[in-house]
Amino acid sequence: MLALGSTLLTEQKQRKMAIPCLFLACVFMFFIALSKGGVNLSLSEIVAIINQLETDSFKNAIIWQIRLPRIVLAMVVGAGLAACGCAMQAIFRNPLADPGLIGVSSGAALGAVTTIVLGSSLFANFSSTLGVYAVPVGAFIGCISVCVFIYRLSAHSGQFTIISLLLAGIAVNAIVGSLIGGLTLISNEQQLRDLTFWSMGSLAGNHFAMMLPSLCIIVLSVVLLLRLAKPLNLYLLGEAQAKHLGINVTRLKKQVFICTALCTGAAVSITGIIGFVGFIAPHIVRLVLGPDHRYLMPASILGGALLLSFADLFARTVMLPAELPIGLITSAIGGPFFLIMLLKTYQQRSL
Amino acid sequence: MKPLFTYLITLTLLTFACSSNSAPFSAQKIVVSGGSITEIIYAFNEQHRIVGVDSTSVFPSAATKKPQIGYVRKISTEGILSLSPDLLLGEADTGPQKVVEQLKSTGINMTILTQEDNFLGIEAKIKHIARLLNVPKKGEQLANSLAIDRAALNTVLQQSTYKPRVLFILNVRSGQPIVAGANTSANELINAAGAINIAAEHIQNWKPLSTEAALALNPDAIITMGRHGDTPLESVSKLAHFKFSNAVKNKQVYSFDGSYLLGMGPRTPQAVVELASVLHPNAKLPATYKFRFAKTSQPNIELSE
Repeated sequence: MLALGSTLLTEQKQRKMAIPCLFLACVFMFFIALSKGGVNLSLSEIVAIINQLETDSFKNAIIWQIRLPRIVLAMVVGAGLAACGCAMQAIFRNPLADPGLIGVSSGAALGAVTTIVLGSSLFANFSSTLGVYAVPVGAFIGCISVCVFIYRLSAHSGQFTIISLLLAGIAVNAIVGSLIGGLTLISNEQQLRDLTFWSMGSLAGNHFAMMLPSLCIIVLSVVLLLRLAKPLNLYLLGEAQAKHLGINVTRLKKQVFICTALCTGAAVSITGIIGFVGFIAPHIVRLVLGPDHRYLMPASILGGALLLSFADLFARTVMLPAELPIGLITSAIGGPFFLIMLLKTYQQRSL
Repeated sequence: MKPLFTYLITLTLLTFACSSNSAPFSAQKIVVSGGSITEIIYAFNEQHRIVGVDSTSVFPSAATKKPQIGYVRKISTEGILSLSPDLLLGEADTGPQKVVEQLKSTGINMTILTQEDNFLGIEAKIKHIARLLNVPKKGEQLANSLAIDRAALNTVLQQSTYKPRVLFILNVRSGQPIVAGANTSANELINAAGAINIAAEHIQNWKPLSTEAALALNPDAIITMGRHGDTPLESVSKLAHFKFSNAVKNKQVYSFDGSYLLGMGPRTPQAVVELASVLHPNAKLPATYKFRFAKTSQPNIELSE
């Protein structure tokens, strides 16, 4: 399955071309997203605003305080989720793996739901000091604690096996699910609606000061994951083979685990749960470029940025003046697109 | 266009003339988030000033034709800005908080009502909105008109010492009914209508009710949420929870429209009068009292099994 489509574009040249092409597409997408929205701005206006020439404070606010943070967040989160998905699929040697398996999403959800439901009573101090930061911080704490728990469970006496990771992840996910259910039951009407919307994901309402810690964590993790491309390639040969080739397999697995936990945790804590991007972006890229992580990883990162920023543009413009939850869009656009790609590849392979 | 313009000018002049202390600014392009606010502005006959509403603004039905900004707790920054409003008027639960903060930072003129949204506060809310819209007289008028409902409610309650034990069900479609416990608007209105919400002793907020607990509660009357033309007795009597309750036996099952009863808008006091009169069937309304809005509860006389 991982080798699917490896014969599609075998020439090295074409693979190398894909990355600059995707990068250009991202830049193009960035400016399109910057100009479209509830208030339409022309490209010349945007250039003027970015160069601080335009003095209209309303338009300035639109770009600097609303649109730019949102697009940057969409691209960085998309890139981060895709990188994590790509690394997870390699580590599990299974194309169905996604960061949710190691408890990131459910941990973040538990943290966020706890903050929303108990924030006004049990953790009143926590919520009042942090204000709007309370839910993201709660989500991040929840995510890291659950990941640490799963790590402790699976890193048993110096061993860190994939099967124990998977089993611990599934069990902990189930426990966390029931805890969230319990919190949902004791929530009031308003909290219930807040947590429902949180779990559908949204990129709205963030400013740079709020996003900065998350962005730093995501960028750092993405850079680290990029550097793991070569060892991941060797790891695909099998654990024993990779060991013989001089790879510290346990360390590699731990590195991927930690990067994924931090990166996805940072992303989910600020945006809520955005499904499918981490799963689908690496897949589509693998269908076109093949499984070599030296190309797959950077292309997935750019593809994830492109996919999420496109989904976000769609979400905030399609039913103006209202807005769709981003999580619905990523699945609704990504799913069918992925299916078409998959069917086409199978047809080509069978010829 | 022209009459509207002259109207606006006279309105501006009038506000200048009438109000010495309130600001001369009067918002002409208002985005509303919260159904009861929309309802109040329509009651003022100032609906031409609304340029966008949220999805809870369902009464009057004409309001649903206005541009939609989404659900009250999930409004979008750019969507609202695209309507270029000069006032965003929102109920206390307008959100998410992040978006509200962001809107503030763009310098948009916004008022989020913070006063407690309860049955007793409806008149204050009406007057507050009237002040914001610079139509204080209309506010006084509308608030005073609700005094009739309050008086009628008192008349009904004075005639009856009996307090029926009521259960309020949000949804009967699924197998497990969601009922109103303590700390809900429904609980407050049941108390206002001179009845006891039997779920309030055991339950906080809206919770699913177990079959056996429901059997033990044995309500005298059941109120459900529904639309005009619903037959609540039929659906409720099918549930094992309530099949053997006094409410079903005595056909004391009524459905009320949600925005009418729980909306905390200008129709809510009348809805409570209606609720009180169905819960105290022997009490008489004042002879002069008239229902000004469509009643929504359904008598269940024709149904017999």
